[in-house]
Amino acid sequence: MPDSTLRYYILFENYEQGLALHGLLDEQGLPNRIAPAPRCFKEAAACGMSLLVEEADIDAVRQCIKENRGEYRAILPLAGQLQARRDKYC
Amino acid sequence: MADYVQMWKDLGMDLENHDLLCQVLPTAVGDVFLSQENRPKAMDFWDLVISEVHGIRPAELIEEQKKGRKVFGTFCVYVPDEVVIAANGIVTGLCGGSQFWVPDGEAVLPKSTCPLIKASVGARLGRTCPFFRIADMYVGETTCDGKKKAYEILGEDVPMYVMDVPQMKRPEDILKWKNEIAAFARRVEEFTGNEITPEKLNEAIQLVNAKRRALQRVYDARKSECLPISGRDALLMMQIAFFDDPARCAQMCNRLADELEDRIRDGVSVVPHGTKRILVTGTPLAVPNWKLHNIIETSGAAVVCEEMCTGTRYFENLVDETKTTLDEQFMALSERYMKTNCACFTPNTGRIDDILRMVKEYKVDGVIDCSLKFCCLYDTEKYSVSRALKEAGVPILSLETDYTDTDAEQLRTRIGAFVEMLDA
Repeated sequence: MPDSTLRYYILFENYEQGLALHGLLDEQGLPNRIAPAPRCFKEAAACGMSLLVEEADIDAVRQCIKENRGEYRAILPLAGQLQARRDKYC
Repeated sequence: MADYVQMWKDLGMDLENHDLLCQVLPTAVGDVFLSQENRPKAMDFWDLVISEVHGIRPAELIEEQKKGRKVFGTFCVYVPDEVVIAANGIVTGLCGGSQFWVPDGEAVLPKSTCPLIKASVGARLGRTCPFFRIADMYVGETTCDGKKKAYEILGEDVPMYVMDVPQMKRPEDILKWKNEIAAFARRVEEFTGNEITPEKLNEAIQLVNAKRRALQRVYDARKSECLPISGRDALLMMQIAFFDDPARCAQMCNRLADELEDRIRDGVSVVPHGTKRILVTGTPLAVPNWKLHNIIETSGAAVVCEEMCTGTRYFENLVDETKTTLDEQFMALSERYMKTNCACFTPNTGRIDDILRMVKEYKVDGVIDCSLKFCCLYDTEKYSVSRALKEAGVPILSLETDYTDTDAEQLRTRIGAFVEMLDA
């Protein structure tokens, strides 16, 4: 079954900014994973990191960012990105 | 990220073409790595590195070049990193694991060349690999005919040094390799302008040994029946080890090993109990070649060990750290490197001994011997590997593949049937 799950990608100006937010979210116990920024986002102008957040956690993540003035460039939703049996390699 | 674009421009890269590679990488990383559940937290580091694979490390290398250090791009685990490090040089791996680079390689090489070589040459000529653009010198070796001819092309516009690897392992061959290492050291001294002293070489030997020990610790954790890390994640760690700073590599691998050892203690496994354990052997899997591991691990099995250059051959055996003269140290290096069992040697029974040993150490249920298309040496060794494993009662599947996606379904069918047979 193809994956149709909606997930959120937090994009950054640079990886230092991304790592800072990654550390903050980890510290707050909010699940997030480092992922390459999907290239369908115009904001991702080059190869670079993003943070991947599940739909169930995005509200808490947004709240945490707001409260701690976490820096980022954009938060964008995207569905169907993780398909282990897609067999499309580089 | 915009800084990287400027960096790539400054390196003379083909930005338009490189952008096509940037488009496919996130999809593959998502599918192969982020689709997994319960990954070790320490994999964060490698997720970052692969997300910024053409950014962070190239930028670091350029900064070091500005300080006067030289970067040496290498192709093989036979090239002794210690010699370069002792002269304050930096060793980096080079691109070569993607179908993306193959067409540019085929423009100058016969199609019947292995994809690793075609991709390496294509990455250089197509100007889509920052590491090929950054390296001040390429260091090759005579481990296969295809590479020997490719070096003649790669050496046209960048200094190229080729080490002559013996083809047998007699005492005189070990001495010959020692002399090759000594000659390489003289060239590295000349190129960097830095003298290699016994003290500096000893420091370098200890540094690279520490990296080997750290990689071994991660592999030791994979021997546990409670499997704390997937084969895909372990492979990514191995692939990046060729590019990273050796001290940081050791630090990160040790951090990962700490977590894996905790997981084993706490009974945390990435696969259900009873999942069949596979040892993969054969030709190297250069980054971002993840096809085989992904297919195996999404077919109900787990990869627990790689007997390959991007695996145990890279870190097993340490260099003797007690030698105090350059002559003795070069010999110690030769003795260690000549223990690596590459198919370029005849005979190469040591590789079969290694596989049989690892089958026991890693509690392996079945072996997959996979070579890249047109790799005559590893393809030919399948016969003796298969015979030895059958005699030992170990199930074996022999495969051949390349970097394209077109055989993925066929591989799924064959690997799926093999795993099913192991389950029966």
